[in-house]
Amino acid sequence: MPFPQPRKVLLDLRDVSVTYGSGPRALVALDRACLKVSVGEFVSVVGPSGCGKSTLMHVIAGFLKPTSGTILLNGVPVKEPGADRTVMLQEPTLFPWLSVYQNVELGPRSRGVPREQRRRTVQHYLDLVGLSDAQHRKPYELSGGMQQRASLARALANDADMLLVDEPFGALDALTRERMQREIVRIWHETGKTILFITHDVEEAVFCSTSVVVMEANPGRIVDQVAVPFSLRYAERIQNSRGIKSSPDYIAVREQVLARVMKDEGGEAW
Amino acid sequence: MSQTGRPTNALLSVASVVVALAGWAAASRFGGVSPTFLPSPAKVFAAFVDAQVGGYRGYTLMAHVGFSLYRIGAGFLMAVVLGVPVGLAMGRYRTIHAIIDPFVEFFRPLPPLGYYMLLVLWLGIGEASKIVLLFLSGFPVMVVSAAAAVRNVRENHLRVARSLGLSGHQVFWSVIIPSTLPSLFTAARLTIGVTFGSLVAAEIVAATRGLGFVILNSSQYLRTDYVFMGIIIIGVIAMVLDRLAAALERVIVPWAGKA
Repeated sequence: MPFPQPRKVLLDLRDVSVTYGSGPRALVALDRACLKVSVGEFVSVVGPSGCGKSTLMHVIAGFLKPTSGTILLNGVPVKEPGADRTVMLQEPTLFPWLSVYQNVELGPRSRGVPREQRRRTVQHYLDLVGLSDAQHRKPYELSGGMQQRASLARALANDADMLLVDEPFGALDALTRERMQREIVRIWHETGKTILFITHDVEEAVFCSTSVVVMEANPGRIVDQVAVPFSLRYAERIQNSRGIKSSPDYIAVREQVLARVMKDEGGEAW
Repeated sequence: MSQTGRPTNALLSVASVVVALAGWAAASRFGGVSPTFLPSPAKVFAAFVDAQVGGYRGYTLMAHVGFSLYRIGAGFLMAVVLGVPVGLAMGRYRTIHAIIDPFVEFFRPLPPLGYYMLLVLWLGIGEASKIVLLFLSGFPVMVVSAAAAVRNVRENHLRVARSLGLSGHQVFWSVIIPSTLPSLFTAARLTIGVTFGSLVAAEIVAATRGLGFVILNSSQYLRTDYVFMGIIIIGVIAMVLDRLAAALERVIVPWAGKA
């Protein structure tokens, strides 16, 4: 789903700040962050730990109230968590008392979606993440990668306007991680969802996204946003991830982002 | 642990009990200890038979067991039925916690015997004071555990539930209750233990039946064989109930201890 014409702005952050504590000991976790995400975009947020990328996700999700500034989703201010922004987190958060199917079903079910329609939705997204055969199993009977697939299906089945994804593959082994990166690009392409993707992995961010937001720490703030031109080559990204990752286009963007991230580290963290 | 480890351990437990019984039999027979201090296993076994066939103070052994189990069951049920909602509310709302916590913390360490006289004065010498004593001994355990269980619900589970669009009510029933169930089971098992521990105290005043009464009454006549019998029955029943609860736990909350 390329962007032939300008798209509608879905998420609009205006000078959003989060401060913990007050006075001289106050910690500015997020300093006047401005960000626009349009419908259908896949925006990654990278930066060193402590740069406020998780704080950014928490205020957008509504888990945390910003100290100042406004967050608009579809032009409406965000006040509390809601089904229009569904989160997927790094640690497995499937409910262990429910089967995979019931986990995916929970969002639609809580909104009173009729049973038959619910079944179709759940089945569709379980197929999409390749978990149809495991739908009756309990989360603790699945591997880490399968658990994150199920979490993704649960987030997708909720039919949110936006997915907020926080380090979803951070705890997976390298091979599974690589496969999941291809999967999320494919799923994003097939569903046309808008995704905000938090990660500390620059390679992952550049590979998956349409643009990469760079943040720095002390105070946490957004310092740059880099477009990813080759993100329109879906088929190649999905089928030949190694090829993409060794292509000059990819390397150029990766180096651009890395240079930005490392400059902001000030050498201190190394 | 290997698969074959389980039956081996069970066998080990049986063996250690058999050895202990043999040691007891040997000590009472060859140890030169007076039967008043240490009755032989055979004598204690005879006490079982006598108490059941001939009865003890007007009731068969099984009847005594039944009366005690009725009191414990009633006290335990009250502790669970009242303790779980109070504890859940305390865990969920800080204001409720602030209001109730001082009383729970005050009551929890109190020895039931200390306030038993007051219960008898207020509630009479019938069943009510005995059941309330057992209830009061178990209630704080249940409340404190339930409150802790709510506070231990994983923050990220609550976040995901809210972002899936669940209402506060739905979060409570679909996330908080199932999250706390394993801990509530553990709490119920602890509560069973505590109420059994208070049984003898509950049957001190004006009891004419029950296992606690049998132990106390036979103590006054130095019938150690009956005291042994009563203790063994209380211990075995408490153990069996705990095992049953554990088995029930595996069926009802199979996700306990799992991510």
